[in-house]
Amino acid sequence: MTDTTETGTAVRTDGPQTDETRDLGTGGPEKARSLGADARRQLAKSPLFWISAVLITIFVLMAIWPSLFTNTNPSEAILQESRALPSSDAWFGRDIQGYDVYARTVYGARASILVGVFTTLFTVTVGGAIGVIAAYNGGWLDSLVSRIADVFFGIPFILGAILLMTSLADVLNNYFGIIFKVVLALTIFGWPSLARLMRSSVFQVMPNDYIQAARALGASPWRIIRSHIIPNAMGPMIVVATINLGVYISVEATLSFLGIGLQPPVISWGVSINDAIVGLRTTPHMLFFPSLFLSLTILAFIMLGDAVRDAFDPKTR
Amino acid sequence: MGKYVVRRFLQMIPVILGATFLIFWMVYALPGDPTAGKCGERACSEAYVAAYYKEHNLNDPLPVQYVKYLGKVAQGDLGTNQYGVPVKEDLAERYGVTGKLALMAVVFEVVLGLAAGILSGIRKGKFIDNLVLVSTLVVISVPIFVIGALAQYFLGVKLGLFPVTVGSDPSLYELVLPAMVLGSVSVAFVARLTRTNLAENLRSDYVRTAKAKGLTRRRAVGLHALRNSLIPVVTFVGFDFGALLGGAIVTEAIFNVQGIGSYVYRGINTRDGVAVVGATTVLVLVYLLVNLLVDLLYGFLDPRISHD
Repeated sequence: MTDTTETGTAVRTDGPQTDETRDLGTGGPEKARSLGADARRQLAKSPLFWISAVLITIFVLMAIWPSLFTNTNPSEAILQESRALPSSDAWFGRDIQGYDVYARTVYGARASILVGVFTTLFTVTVGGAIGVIAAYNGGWLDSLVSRIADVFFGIPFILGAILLMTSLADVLNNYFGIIFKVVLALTIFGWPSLARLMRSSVFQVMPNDYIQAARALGASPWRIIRSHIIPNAMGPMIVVATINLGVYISVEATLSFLGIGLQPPVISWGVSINDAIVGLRTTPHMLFFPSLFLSLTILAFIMLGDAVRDAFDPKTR
Repeated sequence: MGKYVVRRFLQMIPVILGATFLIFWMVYALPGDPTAGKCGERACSEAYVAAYYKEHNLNDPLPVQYVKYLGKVAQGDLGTNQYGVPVKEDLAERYGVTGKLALMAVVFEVVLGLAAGILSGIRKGKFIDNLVLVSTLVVISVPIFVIGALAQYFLGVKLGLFPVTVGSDPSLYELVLPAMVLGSVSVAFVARLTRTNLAENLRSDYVRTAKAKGLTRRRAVGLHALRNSLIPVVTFVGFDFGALLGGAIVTEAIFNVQGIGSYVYRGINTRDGVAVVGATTVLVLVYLLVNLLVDLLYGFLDPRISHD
């Protein structure tokens, strides 16, 4: 698989250099802007970015202070009103246990957001660091790291996560413990794709003159990596990481749906959807609202990723 | 070419060993007594436990267990699952089903994804482009278990277009709906990848040259731009085939497909380590072979890439 990335870079010889020259060209007469500043300006003009930013703000607020959105206790079961349709009393209706679907949906945001944010943070740190070190050092270290990445990459994502979750089934079974286990499982099987991406973009940055110049001036490897390579090679990773955040949320819900992730006393969208699927034919509102919120969250992060990519890649304008 | 293939096969060996060891370790690190629940409601007799531990080498340290297991695999023996059925027989049957399902999903994603991607790529910024962008976003955001349940209810139960569940020896027609659900997310990715690459290539110099020398638009797009846009798509589809085989767990659960996903899932839940390790090892092998095939395909799509 290493050869895929190598051939990939070999074909795209028109990588970052053209981007930079074009950037200077557009920002030319008034003032030369950096790639980052240009991307920020572009983002501020993008409606896609603003829609996703608003959605993400709402969901993050929901995850931090659910009581801001509802006063109803999500664990208060009124069995008498089991499966009640949406009404002025319970906006989204009630589920099988007689829980208020609206309150459950609001409180369910926390699990998804925590898993998404922390998995992204960890995969970016681990994958990014490994990718940079492998590409900068090259040689045997690079081959070794690539083979190790292949090992983790060869095991399908969901399958690997399921296996790891089951082998850790008996430890850390409180709320944050399970979230941590899901994050761990997704990080272990998610870092190789980011490491590969970072590796190939570092390979594109390395031959540039400013790296040679820094090296000739006697800059230490750490300094070259920190202030020249990482800022110039980060772009593709930021984009993919943002999109992946949505994917991780979806995988967390899938694990909870399969009964391997979060378990019933805990409130999460995956668990709610799993509980509601029996009522698909008779009381679809129980399924609709958690699915809607889950999909909107994933949608928001994917749109954000799209907007950031468009901003960083002048060729798509 | 021959040399390249041999080198790739040699590179595969450590990856296969590493991946199978990782799976082996995770499966046998599963906490709990492996003989629990094997003898009905009472505890197993000591003689049975001893025999079970001996047969599966559970008294040895993990690396030794692994080497002994590899030795058996090398002789073509994947062991027997907890029902006493050889895992090899199970796998042959179940891989047939899941393989069919995954292939149909790939065909679906390539045909529909390419069509949508090409349409929106050549009409960038027009209505059809925005339609494709929005609908692919929606498909990507809705989790597959929701798509599956909805498709099963509306297309299967309400409209009666497709069978609601799938039997043990499914016909192609029975698998159409599960395959569409399984491939739905990938359709969206293929469409977006094709669109982005095609739109980028359409503005490149060689397409302008092709048009300038008098080629029809159809030929310039189809022969020059499209062929060059296909490399990332082929990479994705190759990677996706492996992921579909392993990721079919949810789809197979919804439609009751007796494939590899439900086999592995049941194996995990009933602590049937032999079955899980065997099934996933084959999965990793298939994945690596498909990736090799993809890398060889590059040479045909782009003559600049050679494997000599």
